[in-house]
Amino acid sequence: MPVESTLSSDGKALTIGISGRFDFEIVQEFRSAYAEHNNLDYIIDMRACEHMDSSALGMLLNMRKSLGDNARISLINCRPQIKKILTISRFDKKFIIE
Amino acid sequence: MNKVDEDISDSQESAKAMKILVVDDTEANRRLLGWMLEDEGHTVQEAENGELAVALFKETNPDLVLMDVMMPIMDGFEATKAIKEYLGGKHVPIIFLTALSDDASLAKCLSIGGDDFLSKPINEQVLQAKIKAHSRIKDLNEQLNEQNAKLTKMHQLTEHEHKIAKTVFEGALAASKLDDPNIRHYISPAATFNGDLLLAAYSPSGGLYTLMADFTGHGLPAAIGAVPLSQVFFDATEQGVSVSSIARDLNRSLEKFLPDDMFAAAAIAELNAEGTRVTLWMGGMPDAILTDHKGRLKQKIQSAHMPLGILEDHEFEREPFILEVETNDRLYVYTDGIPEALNCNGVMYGEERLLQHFSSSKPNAFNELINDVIDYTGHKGQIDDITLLELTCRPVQSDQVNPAPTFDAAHTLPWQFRMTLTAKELCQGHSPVGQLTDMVGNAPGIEAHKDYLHTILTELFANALEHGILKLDSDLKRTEQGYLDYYQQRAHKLRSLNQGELEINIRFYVNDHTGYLMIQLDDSGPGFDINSRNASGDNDSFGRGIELIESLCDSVTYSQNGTRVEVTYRIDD
Repeated sequence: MPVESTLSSDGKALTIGISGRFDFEIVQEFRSAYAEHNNLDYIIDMRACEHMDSSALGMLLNMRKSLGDNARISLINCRPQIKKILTISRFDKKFIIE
Repeated sequence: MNKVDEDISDSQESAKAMKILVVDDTEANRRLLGWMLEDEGHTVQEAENGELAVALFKETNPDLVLMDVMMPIMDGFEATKAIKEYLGGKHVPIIFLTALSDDASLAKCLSIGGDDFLSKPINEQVLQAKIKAHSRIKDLNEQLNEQNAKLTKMHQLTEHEHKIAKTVFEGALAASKLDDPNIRHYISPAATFNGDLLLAAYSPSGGLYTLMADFTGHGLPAAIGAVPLSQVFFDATEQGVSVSSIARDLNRSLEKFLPDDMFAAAAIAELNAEGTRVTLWMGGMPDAILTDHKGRLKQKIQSAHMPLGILEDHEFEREPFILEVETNDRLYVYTDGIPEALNCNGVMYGEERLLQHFSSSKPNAFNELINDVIDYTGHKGQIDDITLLELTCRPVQSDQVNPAPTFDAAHTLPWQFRMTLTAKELCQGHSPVGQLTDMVGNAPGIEAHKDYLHTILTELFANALEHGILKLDSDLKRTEQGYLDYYQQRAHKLRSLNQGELEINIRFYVNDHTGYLMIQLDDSGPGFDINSRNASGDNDSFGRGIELIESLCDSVTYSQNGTRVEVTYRIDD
């Protein structure tokens, strides 16, 4: 499964794990991973994500728009090349990037 | 039982037909014995002195020997010694035929290696009875030898198998990174093979994974599970999958490979690269302990799940604990060998005694705990495998950065590469980027740049295909729904594409000790007004591709009315 979402045992944090390529091929799955969950801590786990492209950046911005500016969204375990893409696109202004 | 079987069992009642060597210097005696034996169905060979008897024995390997004592050239005693020596450990009964009747002579018959004696004149009934008895002894002896040989072979085989198994286990565990400075561990198996397993590995994002597993039982049967488990663990950690996915993969593998009554309690932990978060999945393990930097108990973490290898994949629960930790917090994970260790009175060590090590500030709880458990059990001997792990929460110094071969401008030759894609290939929807990246990435010096190359090619290809050939409008992407519509339109237009062409040229050259990749894409679309291109705002969910390309490449140029894009990427040495 390229997108797997897991609710933490206390029900407060939603982890969305992305594996393989993060691009438009998973646009539907990614959207439905967070669509039904409100007022949570959102953690996007990028550990198994090998590549992301500009369509994935668009998907992340859509997520931000849909959840509102106050939602806490973190991108964790990014590989160096993915971190660079996020930095180039100044995503650190809108997301917590570890 | 039918008739044939009865016949067979009858004939088994009487002595089995044997090959018997009769040794006597008197021909009449030999003949008489011969008749008696042949009547019973035995085959008879004759020798008239000891020397001939030994020679004939070696030649024909008889099943039994009837041996006279007093003979010319070589007497019965000498011949018996020679035959027994020849036989080594193998048993062929030798019965002396003797006219001597004093106890000393009879005793000598047996002490030099004979198995029995018959007094002359020979009584036929006694003769037949003795032959039957010795036939049985011989059979038993052969069975015993056979079983001994089998046992010896089995024993050798087992030893050999254990050796192989040990090598396999060592191989399976060799990749483990238990020497990481954030880890301290203690492993003490109760038998040669350990039913506990402790593995560590780095993740591609620089974090540190550990796996502790405790199989039911101990010794070799328990250790067998270590092989599939470590395989799955190392595969998964290399790909950098999450703790919950590792748990699920391990469960699936064990459920498939292990018998129903065998399973493994397990704790899978991941410390992120910054050392600020521990993700922990525990099934069937004793409580894990989190302490602050001084060693004082902060939190006990109970296993929330069943051991691995019990639940089927669809029943499996993979929710992990996420612990936000502070620098130098310590996590202790251990197998039930510690709380269940017994003292000389058969009383368990217990959780309470264990927790005392974490009740006040103790800088070296790890050693104190281990020493206390060893003292507690005394000389009673360990009944279960014991494993303890201490994970210190601080930034991970992973050795994961494997340096890709560096670029050597002086020895790298220029090359050129072209791929032309027509509507026929494009409409299938497969992106050529993966293949292009792999092919180009294999060229000398490019490997280390593969990931950026992948990004550049992805964005260039997406723009040329979506805006050039498919003529899709980015304005659609302004809303969340429009974003979905855009990619639905893309899929639809691509499927029905029947004309259009996309050409990709990649050229590598060296200029002034620096390598350059020139990537050029030409599309058959209508092009666009090069001057009208605007930078996208921070909130726009589109237009970021070009920005990415521009920051990764030295130069980006559009020409041919917007149907050609050419970028230059620098490969530094």
